[in-house]
Amino acid sequence: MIDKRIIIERLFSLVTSFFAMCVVVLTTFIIGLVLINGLDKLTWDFLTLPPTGTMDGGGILPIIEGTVMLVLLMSLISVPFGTAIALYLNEVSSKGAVYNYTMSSVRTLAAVPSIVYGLFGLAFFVNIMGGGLDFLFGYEERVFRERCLLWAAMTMGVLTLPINIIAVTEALKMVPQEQRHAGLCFGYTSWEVIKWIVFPQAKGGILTGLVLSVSRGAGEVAPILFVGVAYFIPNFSGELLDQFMYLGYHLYVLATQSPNVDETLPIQYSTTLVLLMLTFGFNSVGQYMRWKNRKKLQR
Amino acid sequence: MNEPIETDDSGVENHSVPVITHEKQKVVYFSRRLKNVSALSLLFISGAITVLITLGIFIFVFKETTPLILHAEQRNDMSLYHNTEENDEFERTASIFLVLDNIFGQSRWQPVDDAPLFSIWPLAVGTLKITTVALVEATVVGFFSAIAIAFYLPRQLRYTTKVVFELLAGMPTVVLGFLGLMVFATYFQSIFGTTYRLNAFVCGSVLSLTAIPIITTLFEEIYAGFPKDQIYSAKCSGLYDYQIITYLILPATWGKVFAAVLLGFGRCFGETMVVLMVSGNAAVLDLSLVSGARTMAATIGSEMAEVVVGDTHYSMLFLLGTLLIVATYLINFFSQLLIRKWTYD
Repeated sequence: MIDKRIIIERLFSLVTSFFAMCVVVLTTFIIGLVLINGLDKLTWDFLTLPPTGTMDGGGILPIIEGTVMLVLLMSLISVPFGTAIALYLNEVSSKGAVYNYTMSSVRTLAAVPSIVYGLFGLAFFVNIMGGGLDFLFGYEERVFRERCLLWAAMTMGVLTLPINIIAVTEALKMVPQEQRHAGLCFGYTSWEVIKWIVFPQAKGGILTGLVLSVSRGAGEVAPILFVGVAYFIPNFSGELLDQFMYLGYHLYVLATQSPNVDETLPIQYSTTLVLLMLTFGFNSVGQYMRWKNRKKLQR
Repeated sequence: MNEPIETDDSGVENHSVPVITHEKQKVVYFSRRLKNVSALSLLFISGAITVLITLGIFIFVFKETTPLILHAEQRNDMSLYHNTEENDEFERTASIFLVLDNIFGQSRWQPVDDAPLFSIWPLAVGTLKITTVALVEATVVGFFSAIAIAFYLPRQLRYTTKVVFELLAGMPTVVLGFLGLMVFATYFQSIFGTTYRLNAFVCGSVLSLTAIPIITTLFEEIYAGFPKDQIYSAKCSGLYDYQIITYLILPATWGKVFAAVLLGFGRCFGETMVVLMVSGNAAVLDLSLVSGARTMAATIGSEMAEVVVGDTHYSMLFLLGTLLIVATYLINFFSQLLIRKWTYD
């Protein structure tokens, strides 16, 4: 007589492993599909030519330029601020009510839907900050109060703030408490402890946060849908107050709004492949760095 | 220990050290303290900015919805008696109740119309349909995958699975939406033979792919935070792994499990790109799972780009955004409360 529990155990193991394997197979299938369909159109010309008028030919150069520009500006905003906030949370604040409140705001910020960041960007950055700058410089027509690269980058910067904060916090937690105490015993001020002892060891975390936020920012489309992304601009000017094209948005436009969806399908797959290479590349580098940092802690 | 500490009394090196007077020391000390205070207060300000942003997101989005109530023009736009001639009197005094009647008392979403209808119900039902499908699938798959990773998979496979889940978590949603639109929807229709190629069920299934890694990670964290000695002693008592899960871990972590599902819900219902591309974008009041649907987030995403700033439609879309924010804050509040309540230290 076989024990009933053995059968249940086997069944349980089979079912759970089946579901896990389903996800693995599906993810591999997705990546494989994009690779197979996207590779043959992915030529040097595709990366270095602007798209043609009806978007059924040409390359994606201005789109890549716009994406890179936005991601750079975004990290200029989110990395310093994220680092400062993480330093405040872990090094300066006493673990009281202020700490709890700030911590729960960080968690809430990480959970806010990305489309809401777009609304925030439109309401605050474009309307209030842009309008305020126009008023300040005395412009009659709208100069700053436009949907443009600058405000899109700031919106994206706010969106990726929690990622930076969490990455730096992880790194800060790995600095041994004894080192901070030793610094204080030498007569360092708190700022000198941060500057000379904590910060040099947290550099890896800052870099991880940068890489992960770039990966996240390059993949998000919803927050910039109405904060400056443009349908079609063949020549990217590179100016802060201009509209721009974006990789994810370009894919969305091609897949849903182009006049001939079936004909542009190879272009869509190639655009997806470029987007995946950008996000997956940065994401895997970031995860590797995080894993390496954790290993350092275990030793 | 017993040896005397060596003192440097040659006197040669000492001469190279500059003499620090008392006054100079005071200046250095003062500047160091000044630097300390200013740097720390800068860090404090940036910490305060996080709290301000969290509040500011709500305040500034909510601010754009207030014209719906405060401006007579927008109230008139919203009132359904706007166009009829015999209601001139009504038009001048359109009250807030007419606005509420348009939002909650009707059943259609027709924003671009002479008498625009802004009923919230089609969008709410669409959100509910899609989110329910996505959440059920994500919870089942995520939960079982987390168990498999924690207990059943062989070590090497376990590591690979974790990496793949992290890759899936970093997958841009627009890519998932694109593949859902081009590939999965066609497969689904050819298998089940549904009338509409793009429907709520396909959308929910694709959407669950974004929530699965999150829920799996949260479940894994619950398992990792569980006292290991209890698991070992249960194993030593001869319990099988499924018994450990159902008798030991789950009863002690129900609250955290529920919090994880809540967070997955928050992720699902705010997702825009997948819904925009796969749901069929039909704002109709229809409870069927295999018909088109549209969520509140997707409505904002698809209509905000074409709308005139300061319009009634504009304010209405911001109202949808405000609802999303309020829901997110509530979900986060309750999940954090649950996690705190179910943590014993």
